[in-house]
Amino acid sequence: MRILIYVWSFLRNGFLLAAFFSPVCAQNITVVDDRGVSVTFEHAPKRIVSLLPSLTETVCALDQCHRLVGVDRYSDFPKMVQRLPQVGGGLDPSVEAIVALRPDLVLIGTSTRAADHLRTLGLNVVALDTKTHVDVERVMIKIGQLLEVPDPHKVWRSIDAGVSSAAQSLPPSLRGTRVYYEVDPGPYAAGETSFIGETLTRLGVKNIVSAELGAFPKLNPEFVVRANPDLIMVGQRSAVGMTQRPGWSRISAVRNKKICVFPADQSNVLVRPGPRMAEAAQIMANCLSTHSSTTGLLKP
Amino acid sequence: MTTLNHTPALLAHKLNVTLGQGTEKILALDDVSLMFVDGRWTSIVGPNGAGKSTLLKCLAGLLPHQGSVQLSGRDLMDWPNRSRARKLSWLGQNEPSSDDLRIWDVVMLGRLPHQSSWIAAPSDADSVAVERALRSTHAWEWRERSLGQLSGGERQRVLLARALAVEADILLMDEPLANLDPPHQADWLALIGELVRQGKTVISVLHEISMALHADEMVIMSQGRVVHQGLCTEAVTHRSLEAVFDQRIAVRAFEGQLVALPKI
Amino acid sequence: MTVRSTVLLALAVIVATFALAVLGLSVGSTGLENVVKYWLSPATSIDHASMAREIIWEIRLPRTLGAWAAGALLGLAGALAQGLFRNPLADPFLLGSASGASLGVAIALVVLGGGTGLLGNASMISSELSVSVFSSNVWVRLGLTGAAFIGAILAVFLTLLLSRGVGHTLRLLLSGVIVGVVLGAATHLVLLFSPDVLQAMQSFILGSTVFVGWTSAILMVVVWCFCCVAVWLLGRVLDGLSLGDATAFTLGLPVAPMRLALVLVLALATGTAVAQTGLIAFVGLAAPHLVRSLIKTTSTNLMLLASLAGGLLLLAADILARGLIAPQELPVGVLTAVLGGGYLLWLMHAGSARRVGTL
Repeated sequence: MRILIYVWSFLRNGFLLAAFFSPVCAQNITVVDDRGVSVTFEHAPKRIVSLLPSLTETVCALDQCHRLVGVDRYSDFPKMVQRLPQVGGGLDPSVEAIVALRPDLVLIGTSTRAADHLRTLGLNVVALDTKTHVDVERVMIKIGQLLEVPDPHKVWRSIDAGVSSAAQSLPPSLRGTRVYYEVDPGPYAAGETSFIGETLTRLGVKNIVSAELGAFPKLNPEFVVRANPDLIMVGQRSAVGMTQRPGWSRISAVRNKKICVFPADQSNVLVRPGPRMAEAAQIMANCLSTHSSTTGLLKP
Repeated sequence: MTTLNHTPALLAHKLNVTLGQGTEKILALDDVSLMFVDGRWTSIVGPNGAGKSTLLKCLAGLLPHQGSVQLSGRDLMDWPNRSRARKLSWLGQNEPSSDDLRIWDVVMLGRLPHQSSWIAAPSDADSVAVERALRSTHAWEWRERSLGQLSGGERQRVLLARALAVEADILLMDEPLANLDPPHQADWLALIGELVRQGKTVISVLHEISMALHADEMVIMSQGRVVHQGLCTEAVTHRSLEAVFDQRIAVRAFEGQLVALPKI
Repeated sequence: MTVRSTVLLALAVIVATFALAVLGLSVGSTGLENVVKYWLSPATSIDHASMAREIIWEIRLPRTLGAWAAGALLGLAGALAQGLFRNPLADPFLLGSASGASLGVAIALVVLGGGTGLLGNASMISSELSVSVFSSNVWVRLGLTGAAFIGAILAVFLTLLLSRGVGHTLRLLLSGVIVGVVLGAATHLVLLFSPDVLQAMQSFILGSTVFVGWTSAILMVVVWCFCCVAVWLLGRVLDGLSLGDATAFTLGLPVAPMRLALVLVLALATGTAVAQTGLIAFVGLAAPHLVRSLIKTTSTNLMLLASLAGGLLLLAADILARGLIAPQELPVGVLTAVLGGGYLLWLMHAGSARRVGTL
């Protein structure tokens, strides 16, 4: 008799347990990626290969770094992903290496051409792109839902708050500072509509490259001379020789030595539209406050 | 029969030339020794691949060779460039030319050996020589046209004028009758005759045997060797000629001229 | 008759050049503007006028002069290449000399600038240690030009070696393309090892007149003058060479030394242009053809006229590059391709139509 009761309890608990878990296993997760392709998962992916640094960082920001099994060669944050196997670049991934890792999710940017190839090999490919602040939030929520993170909105809110606090840390006198951000010696500038431009706008400064010129216009250097920015921000690799360009010595920022040269690791933070945007905003805010007086420092 | 009263214009001594590389080496000239006297026209004939052009190029100093070539008693290599260029004029076969140059400028290039600097304007003597050369080949009317506007035969006459403008003592010509129609071939003959009368030495490679028979002397070659050198009027030369072409031609006199007819 | 038409063409090109130069001084980031008023009457605010004058003097004048000089060097190099190789398809690009020059520049930059990429030393923050490809330091520009010169010579010799002389058109062009592609790949390889230099050279490699300052402009003009003198002295030799090596030799010309001298001039012109403005295609190819389609003349005249035409062509392209979508800029290489390539297409079409007509 007692044996029957034990068997019955065991079976009942088993059924209860099964009932508890089955909605999660039986329920599929469907994600529509940025190319409009719908991908369905039976359960949250456990082995993720990421081919875009901002997506790598997003996964880790959601505290799901442990699910990553492979990254592209440009993903270098946080430190632990540097120990992961590298599978080529975003534009030239090594398909063999990816397949060998047996991922159940491959995260790529929308400009990767290998998507279809990977899909035909039976892999789940989700293409997402982060070009604006809104994108970062959207992608974070989407990945959060896909990975069944409890509250991805919370993570986003803290990042957003970080940006706001960086903006608030600036004294009111710095609002309206006219800034020129150069991404490449073409010269290619970061316009208002670019990710960098959005961060600058949130910090309350004025970008000399207005919205109608596009996100990354190739400018006539004369334009910069005429616009006469108060401050110039540039990555170290592009900074060489900037002050000697014809006619640039008369620019206010050059005359007052208000040029922030960001070393490569900081450049990466600023340029990548991803979860480190709070850090990016802080770097830029530091740069602005350091140059609030005309003390003429070259490093932020 | 040739009387030597002074050094010959050109003297070739034991010329050996190997052409090609590796397994495809051939002996183009095999121990060739020849003498060319001043004031004569010598034609060089022979079947294809006999080494006629190779011999002519050696005489002009254009090919590396074993053996020696002497120009007026002095080794060809010892002559300074410009002196040699004034003494010896060359007209090659199938050689490139620039379509854009004016005829006048092309022929004026023949005066380079006489001009002391490349940037100086042409002297009166140069202009006279160019005009004379163009008139003698009946190309004077085209002097302002560009080379690319002329037909094959017309171009050949211009290139000939260029070789004449050098006013050298010795003229080496490789297939000078290419593209020329019979009336112009006759003009050419007359021109050569006039040059020889003036004391110039002409050596030409010709595959038109009948034309070659108009020369003073004939050098017959076969497979890199000289088979015969002798006067064109002599019977022994005719027999040698027929032999080298495997008896497939017959040399006959016709209306005061010697002709070589193919045996059908 | 021909002398007169040569002079007329030269005058026409020179007048057009000056007209475009004035235009070049008027076109900037605000598009076309009236610059005469800045000189004639003091503007509303003195500061406004002084900025305008500085912009014209510091930015537009050297850039306009530099674009013209680079085009003049490339036009000269193209005509020289076509004469030297007896081939109307030869130009500094098809012979690989331009790729050799860019390889020289890349190696020089990596050596001078320090390969922080390879060594991974991120603490080397100070930008004074590295050298920019756009630098206006005289010694840097001379150094880069010298490296480009050597690279160009190397490339031409490689091409000649592969093609075993200039006899065969097909072999020559094939060798030139091979050398160009191989050296271009070598350039990219070198740059991959030095990502710092890579970033700076991306837009430079595509051809850029954007940051041409006084140093670059004057350097190019000086080299151009030197090349013109050399070409004037050696032009007749080139004519002689056009009759073939055999005839040239029998005319008493020192063929080998003269050819070497001409190759050196070709490399100098190409190297100087590439070291200041990167790889700009079509100018070297189109300018000589443009001149030849209008007149037939000696090599000397052709090279000098092609030089002037090349200057005009690149000047026009540069003005369009900055004027069409001001304040944004188009890459100047795109415009030379459109202008030069379009003109060549028209030439081909007109040429074939004429031929059909005469049949």
